[in-house]
Amino acid sequence: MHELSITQALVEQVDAVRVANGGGRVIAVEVRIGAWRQVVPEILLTYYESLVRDTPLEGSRVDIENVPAAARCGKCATVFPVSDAWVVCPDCASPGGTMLGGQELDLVGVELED
Amino acid sequence: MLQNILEVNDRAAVENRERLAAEAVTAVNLISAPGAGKTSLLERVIPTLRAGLRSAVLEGDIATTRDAERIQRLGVPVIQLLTGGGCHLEATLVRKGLDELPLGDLDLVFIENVGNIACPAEFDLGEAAKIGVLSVAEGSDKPAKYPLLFHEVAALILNKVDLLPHTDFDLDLFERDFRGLNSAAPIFEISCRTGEGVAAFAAWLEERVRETQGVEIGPGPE
Repeated sequence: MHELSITQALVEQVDAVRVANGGGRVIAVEVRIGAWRQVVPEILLTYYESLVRDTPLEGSRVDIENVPAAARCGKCATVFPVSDAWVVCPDCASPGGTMLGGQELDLVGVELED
Repeated sequence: MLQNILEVNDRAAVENRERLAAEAVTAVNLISAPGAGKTSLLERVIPTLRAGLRSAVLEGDIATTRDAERIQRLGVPVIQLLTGGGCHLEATLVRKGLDELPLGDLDLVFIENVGNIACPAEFDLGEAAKIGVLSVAEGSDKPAKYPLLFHEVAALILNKVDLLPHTDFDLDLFERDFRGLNSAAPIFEISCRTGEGVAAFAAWLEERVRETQGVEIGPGPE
């Protein structure tokens, strides 16, 4: 249920962008979520819908781009995709590389009514 | 445009971190499932810390001051942070807790997060280190099932090891899965019931405190 505070933060940010750009209605919002963020898109969308009711954000669309997780091996510097809970280099078998992607939680764009 | 959605939390976390560094205070964020033994660990480790090391506790809970009352009996400052239903602590709430603590008179602050191994891993509180607590009764598959937490921790407590003979906990599987996520963090096998292993964890904390105080930013060289 941490999606609630994340969605609240998102709605506040979108509204700040809206106000700073003329105060019209919001048509679409683009967010980027890393695979390792433990954010369930459906839950985020449900919270979003209730939070924006009766506001200038009501009816806006949320486009979610999922970013896959990747890591760089600390030993041989190979960059490899991380699926599941296993950060082990496929080349040299060293465990625990540095995460390069998968932890994104970003507001990427806001589309406003003309 | 690119804005971090957790910007407000992360900004508060940076402020907390700077404030703690300015006072040379080490803060650790304890994360575990409900009942894994975070409060019991504090009851064990605080009296084990070397004499003169001044600690305090920020006690995060959804409801009641029961854990804070337990900590109070140890004679260290404790501030109860109630989330009122929230499943994790956020940096803004921790900031309020830090406001209430005499930071200038402290070396170490324990932040006991709300019992939960999913959500708290998402929120930076400004701590120097996240410490995970897993009890053997929860099962050896937890690192693989909650990878973010186990990837983020600087140390892992495996608690209730006195129960190992009575559970199906597979130490080898657990270590293999954990090392697949985190090659650096030490694992402390502890029983808060018997006190086994607590001294090694206390020594690790004392080392973290020494590191913080060693790099204290004072006036520059003349």
